[in-house]
Amino acid sequence: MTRSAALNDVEQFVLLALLRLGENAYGVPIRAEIEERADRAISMAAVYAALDRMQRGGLIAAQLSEPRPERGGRARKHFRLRPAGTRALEDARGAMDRMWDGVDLPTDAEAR
Amino acid sequence: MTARPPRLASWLLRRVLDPRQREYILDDLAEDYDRRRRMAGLPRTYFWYWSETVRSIRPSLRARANSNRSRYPHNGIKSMDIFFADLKQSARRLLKTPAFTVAAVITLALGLGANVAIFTLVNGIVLRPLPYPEPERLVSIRHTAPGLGLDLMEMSMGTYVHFMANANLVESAGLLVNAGVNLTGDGAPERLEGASVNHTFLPTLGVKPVLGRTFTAEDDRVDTPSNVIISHALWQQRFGGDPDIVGNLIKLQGKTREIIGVMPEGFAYPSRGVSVYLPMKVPESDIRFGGFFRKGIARLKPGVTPEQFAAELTALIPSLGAAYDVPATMLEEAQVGALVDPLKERFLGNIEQPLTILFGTVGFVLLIACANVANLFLVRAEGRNKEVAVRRALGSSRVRLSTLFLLEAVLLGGVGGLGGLAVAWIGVRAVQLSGVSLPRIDQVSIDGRVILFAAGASMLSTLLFGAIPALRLARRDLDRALNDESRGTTLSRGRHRARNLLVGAQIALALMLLVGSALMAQSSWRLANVDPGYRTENLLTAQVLLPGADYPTEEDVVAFYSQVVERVEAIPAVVSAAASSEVPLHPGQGRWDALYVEGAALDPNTLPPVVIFRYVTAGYFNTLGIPLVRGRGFVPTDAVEGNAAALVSESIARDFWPDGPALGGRAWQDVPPDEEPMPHYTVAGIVGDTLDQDLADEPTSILYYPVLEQGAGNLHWVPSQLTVIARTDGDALAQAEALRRAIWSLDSNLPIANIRTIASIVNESTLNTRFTMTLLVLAAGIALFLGGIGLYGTISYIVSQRTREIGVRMALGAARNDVANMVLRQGSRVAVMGLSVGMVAALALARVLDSLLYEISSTDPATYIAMAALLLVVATLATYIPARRAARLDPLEGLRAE
Repeated sequence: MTRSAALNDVEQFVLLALLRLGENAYGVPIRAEIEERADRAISMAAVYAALDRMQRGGLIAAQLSEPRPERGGRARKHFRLRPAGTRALEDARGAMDRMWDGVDLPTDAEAR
Repeated sequence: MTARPPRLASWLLRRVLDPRQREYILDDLAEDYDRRRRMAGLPRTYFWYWSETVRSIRPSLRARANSNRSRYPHNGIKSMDIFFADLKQSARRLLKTPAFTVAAVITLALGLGANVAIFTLVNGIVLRPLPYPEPERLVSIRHTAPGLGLDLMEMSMGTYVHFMANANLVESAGLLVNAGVNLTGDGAPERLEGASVNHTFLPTLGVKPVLGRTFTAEDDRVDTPSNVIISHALWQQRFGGDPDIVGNLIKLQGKTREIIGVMPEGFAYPSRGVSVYLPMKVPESDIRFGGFFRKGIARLKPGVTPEQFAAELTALIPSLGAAYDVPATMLEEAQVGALVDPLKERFLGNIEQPLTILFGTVGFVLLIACANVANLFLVRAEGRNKEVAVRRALGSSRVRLSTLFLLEAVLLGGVGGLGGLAVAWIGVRAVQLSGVSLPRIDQVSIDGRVILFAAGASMLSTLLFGAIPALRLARRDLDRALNDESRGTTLSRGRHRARNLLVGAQIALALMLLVGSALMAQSSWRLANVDPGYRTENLLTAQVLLPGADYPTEEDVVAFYSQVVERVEAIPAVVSAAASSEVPLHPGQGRWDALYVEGAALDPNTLPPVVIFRYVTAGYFNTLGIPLVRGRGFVPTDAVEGNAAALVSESIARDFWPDGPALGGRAWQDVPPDEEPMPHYTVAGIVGDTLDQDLADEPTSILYYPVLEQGAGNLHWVPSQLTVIARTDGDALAQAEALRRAIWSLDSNLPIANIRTIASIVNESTLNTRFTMTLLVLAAGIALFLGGIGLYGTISYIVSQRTREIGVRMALGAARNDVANMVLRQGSRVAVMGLSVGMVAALALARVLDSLLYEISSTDPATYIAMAALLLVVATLATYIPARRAARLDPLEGLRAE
């Protein structure tokens, strides 16, 4: 199976958050990670939209936790990367690195 | 204890979020809300939750919109794709068995087409509202006088004025009288259909002229000029749509009148042909109780029902006596009543019942068609048992298999429905072109409602014929199906039961239709062959109306009568000719009046019996072929005042002179003899009875009085409208031009209307009966054909399934005849079952035909037996062909067969 579209930045943020969070990757910390590290305001609905898309594309897998008392006895939905997800993330990073290769940003003075 | 996020925001979120993720998102947000509240406090967290809600809207909507599409390739097949793949597969399978498909589609198209066609008629004629504002408030007012033997009469000026002065439930009302008028002046003289209306008539309908003005109270007065409003069609055809037409003068009935208005396009009251509206000018002296010929309409106040209005009018009838000086006993004797009907019903007349019967009939045809297609499906399904078993074994669910087979039915139903629309279109055109006089027939067309009906009917029949086989197939026991077919000898009886039932039902329905159409055909035939009392062939008639301006005196009119007969008899091809005030078979044209005879006891409170008084020239009886039974015909000396001779029909002689000879008896018209010495008629001869008004009715009582040769004073008013009658040798219609020239040789300004043969009038008066009959026979023919095909198909299939069994029987020594008889028995069992059920059902249903039947009972045993026999013959034939095939079977081949 081949990728038909490159990851957008929200998808990249979500995948990276999954990697950083490991076992604890569910909605609340994923969004918190993106908001804190990337300084991006993002709604929970947008996070889930990306998660859903990537899950249907086979990039990530979901798993329900044990029932949690703080959620009124309901489960959390945990996500983790599948190999295809890791590859997609590598591709995205490689593409970005290749674009950056040899680029020097002009200084403020030059830009003016 | 955890804190709950704001209720309203959660409620909103629940509605917005992608349902697949909704619960997790809400739980995550609730968890986050609880954490933040503890860290940042309630107000800020509250605000945060609301902003979260708002920001969720866009991504959620986008996620929902994209949920069926993926940016990534996928394995699964979406449900719509499955549906289309199945549809394609079904279509391909149907195309692979063209014989089955064509048979099914034609059957359905016929069945549906018949229904859609009849519905189109019902829709256009019965269901469509009248084209006036708030048509449901419009009613017609008529009278009944059962005591006089008159079921229906129109209103009189007296009843109209009295009702309108005293009734409270009515908003407005109006009167109309049909009138034929001659239009002369520029161009050829033209005979126009017209109507005279009082000034409230058009406003009651709610219609205004598009040009000019409507009539006012001024126009109703006798001392004002008589203006005219013309129809849109006349304006276009005669006056080229001249926008300045209002104010122009035209010559009608020899009188010059001013055109004051043009009616809107499509306005056609009381019928399409009416092209001029004249004011109804009624002198004070005419506002009296009698004269029931004015057609009354009324617009009820909102919320008033026709029944309430009828009750109000009925209560007003006793006070008519005092208002117009009519003896109360006479009102009672006559049992005068008021009849209020929705105006639409007045238009439909008695058409509703035949249409309902036809609708029921074609419903049966559709049922037969569905049974037939269901049967075809079952046969086809049997052949696919293995395919189904394999599919089931490979994991197809029952639902999916049912869907697959139902799809075939849906495809057939759809194509059949389209075919049905085409059949209906052709059928409706054929009905329109046949000249049958159904009301509003020219406005009937296939509209949205018809298409909706066609779609509904084809969907319903799809369910009928598609559901049974689909359910049976999907339910079939898996391993039984896999094993069953392989080397079995005889199929279980149960598996034929459904098919036998379907065929039996078809035969039962077919018998009902056959009986119904045979009854109609017989009464139609009897009606066509009834002896009307005159010879109908080679008789040509033409109507002439003499304008009062050109023929001011009775002498002028009388002279015309005699002269026109002379001129017409001079035509070489004319054997004899006559003129009379009206022709047979024009119901409503006859002049009914009271007849008093000498010596009959008179009760002043009893209404005298009425007969038709007809004005004829001496050659009338000879020309029409009415026999002189006793006495003599007219001679010129009959026309002497005070001693005028009359001829009476046999029924008058019998009814009015029950004890003595009618010949020489004296008779008075309209006025009883004892009141004052009045001129009287002396019966000079008795002529044969005729069916003058309605072929299906009793003979009409007619008193004939003669044209006065010298015009020496008169007993009676001479009608200025006359009909010229000529008997020709050979084709009567070929003499139409000669007849016209003969009349114009007297007065080239005279318009001549309705040149036609008596045969064509007879033809027309039986047209509606024949129309119903033709459609019924057609439906029964289709039913017979479909029933036969159904039986044939079923027996053929059973034989093919039993090939091996038959082979074994023959190998064991069964004679060919035994085999054939065995198959025949099987077929006749189904046929007899269907016939018995059909017989009972037909007896129960034929009663609805009673009112349409003429001289035949709806339970006529001969008809029932004959139709059952016919059906039995067809059934036997349908069974005999497969039976013979079975008997000819080579035993060896049979043994080898699977």
